Amino acid sequence: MKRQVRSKGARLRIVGEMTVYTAAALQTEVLAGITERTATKLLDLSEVSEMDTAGLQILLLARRHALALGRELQIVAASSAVSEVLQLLQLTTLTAAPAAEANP
Amino acid sequence: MNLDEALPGFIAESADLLREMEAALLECTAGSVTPETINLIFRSAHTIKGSAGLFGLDDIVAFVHVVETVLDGVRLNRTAMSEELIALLLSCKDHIQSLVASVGTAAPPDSTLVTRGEELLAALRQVSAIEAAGPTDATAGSPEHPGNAIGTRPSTSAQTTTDWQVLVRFSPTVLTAGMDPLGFIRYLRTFCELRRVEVLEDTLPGPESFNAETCYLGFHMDLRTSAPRSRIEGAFEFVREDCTLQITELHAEPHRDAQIPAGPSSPPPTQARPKREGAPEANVLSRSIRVDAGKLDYLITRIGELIIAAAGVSLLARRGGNSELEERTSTLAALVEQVREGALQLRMVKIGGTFDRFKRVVHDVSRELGKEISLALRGEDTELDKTVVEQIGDPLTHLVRNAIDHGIEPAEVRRARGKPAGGTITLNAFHDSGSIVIEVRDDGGGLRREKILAKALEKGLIQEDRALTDPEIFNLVFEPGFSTADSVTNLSGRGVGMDVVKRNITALRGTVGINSVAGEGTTVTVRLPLTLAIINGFQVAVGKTSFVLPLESIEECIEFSAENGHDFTNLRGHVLPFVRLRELVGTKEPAARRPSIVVVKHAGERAGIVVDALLGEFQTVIKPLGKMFRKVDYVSGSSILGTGEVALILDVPALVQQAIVRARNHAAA
Repeated sequence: MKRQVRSKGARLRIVGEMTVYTAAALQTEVLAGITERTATKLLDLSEVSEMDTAGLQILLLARRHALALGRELQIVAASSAVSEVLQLLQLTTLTAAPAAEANP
Repeated sequence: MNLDEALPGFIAESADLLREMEAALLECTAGSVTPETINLIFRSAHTIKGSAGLFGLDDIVAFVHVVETVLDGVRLNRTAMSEELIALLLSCKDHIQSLVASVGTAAPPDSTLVTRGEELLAALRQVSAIEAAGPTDATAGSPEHPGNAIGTRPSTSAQTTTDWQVLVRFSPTVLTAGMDPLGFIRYLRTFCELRRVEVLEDTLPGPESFNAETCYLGFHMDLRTSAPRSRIEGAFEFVREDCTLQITELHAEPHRDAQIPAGPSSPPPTQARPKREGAPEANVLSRSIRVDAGKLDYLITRIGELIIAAAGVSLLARRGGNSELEERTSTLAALVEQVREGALQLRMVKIGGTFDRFKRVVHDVSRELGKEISLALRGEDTELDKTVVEQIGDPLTHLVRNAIDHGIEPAEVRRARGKPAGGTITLNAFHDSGSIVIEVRDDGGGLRREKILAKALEKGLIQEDRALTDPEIFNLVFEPGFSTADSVTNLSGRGVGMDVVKRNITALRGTVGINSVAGEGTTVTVRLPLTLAIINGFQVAVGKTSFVLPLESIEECIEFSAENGHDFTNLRGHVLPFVRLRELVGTKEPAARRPSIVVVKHAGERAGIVVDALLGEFQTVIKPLGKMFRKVDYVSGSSILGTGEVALILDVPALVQQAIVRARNHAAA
């Protein structure tokens, strides 16, 4: 499968589906992307075509992983598919101030 | 959670809710019956019922349920919020309060409480019965104008919706089975309003054990919908085997066509912990914590001791001449002062809470007497010591009742005098030179000077030949055994008179005064010290004895001078009467060569106190006086100095009074 995550400086861009079919691959790539050098990661989700529960879990996992490393993860752009899910679940704070959403 | 441990929390929460409920009910009497107010009352009742159910307090659940049913009728505009209904609901609120209180004592329910509950239930059921019959009669009577039914507003405002709390967790395999939990939520949205959604990610594992194809999430949703429970359940039909689903009714607004149960028959919401509604507000409130008052008092006494100890240390440092030590102790003293202020601040509460109680008093009493009276509140944010607040309630209640009973005239008399038929009682609070002033004002007929004089003569309180000023005459009402009431009503005139009020206020180191203008009304002014524990004092001396004056009451200190042998001096063109502390104390020590006058102020009056020496500011921890000193009328308390010596705290109001009286007698003579 072709690489879905592109890391450039602080920017982490995910392209294509974020669903149960791609979740396993995404998991490794996203986590690796976060562990990389920079402290703040800007997550660009503007090219995500589809998102389901599995995709959402990856997002939550990524946030938790970043927090565990003491880094910030900020969603700076979201496609309509991503926005729809975040709005449905009232998770819009994810895009605004991820640091405020501490782990339970 | 241990329920027994949580019980005090329930009692405290209920007290808060009942207070809110009462406030809202009283708002309704003021003529503002808004849907928000009704909802607030309903929510209070509902939350109490929910919590009581959690503790298995069936009595409370059963009673509140009936109250709730009636309130629901009001909410759906089926029942009008009449004066009678408000009075009934207020009684119900009192009853719930008693029920909750009896939970705290763990005593068996007493029979009067049970009887009272039954009476109220009967009255409530009657209201429900009327309301059940109401709409049908109205529509039958005027079929062509169904919208004109009495007490019914257009039904567009009445939503027949229910709030639900849905808690759902999916089995780990649901994703691989080809189902997406988000889909179910999207489906719910087609017939529900998703008021709140929370993603439960507590079971989400760390990166090591995370499996991308396992479902870890759960969802917690608050829904509002007109659809029945079965439809919500139906939404999850496809994953019925693969999820745990919990649906709880948050608050029901029963369907219009549903029969209103007359008794407690709906299932209590015990499936899940009933959420307190209005979560955002609750979050704001949770920034404050409840602390046991005993702990706070302990802290204050310890700080009192700390101040005395610190004063001792700095005294030693000064004597020892160790400048470094002196510097450190002054830092310490500054910190101690800050701690003291912080600790006292903890005890400060707004007087608004006490004032709000009087809305109820005014409502009940004016109903009882058939007088139309409104209550105006001012300065509710004024803060004062918790202990003072607790102890001022009873005297104030008496003053308010008195004002309603004796102050405000009957409506006919008021109209004849060209006043509005409805009377007004005003409660006002403000800070004034180290005291808090609370005024109870009525716009009634005022005190009858002649009647008071006659009564005072009859009781032998005054001699016939004495010329008294108006304030002096008015203040006679505070004398023991004085009452001019023509008729003994249910409210006052039972022997518990103004003298008790005065005694209670004096016990708080406060003073009370009364003034009145015939035909315009009466104002009772209560002055209380801001705190009962620690004050900023100013130390003075006569001979070798130290005295303390409250710093807030001091205006200035001037060099001693007297108008050739009289007991007053000229203060920038004004006469300033003074008292010589030396004479009061009766010391035999030789007089100082350069005495000073401390100018003090109380209740707008100024007077001087002649002392031998000014010693400066001093943190004063007030200690009560021993019985021996009770009769000494110029001393209000004692304090311990850094040296361990005792200093007496001078009673400024008494001294001011004494100086003025003496100056006047002198002038008269």
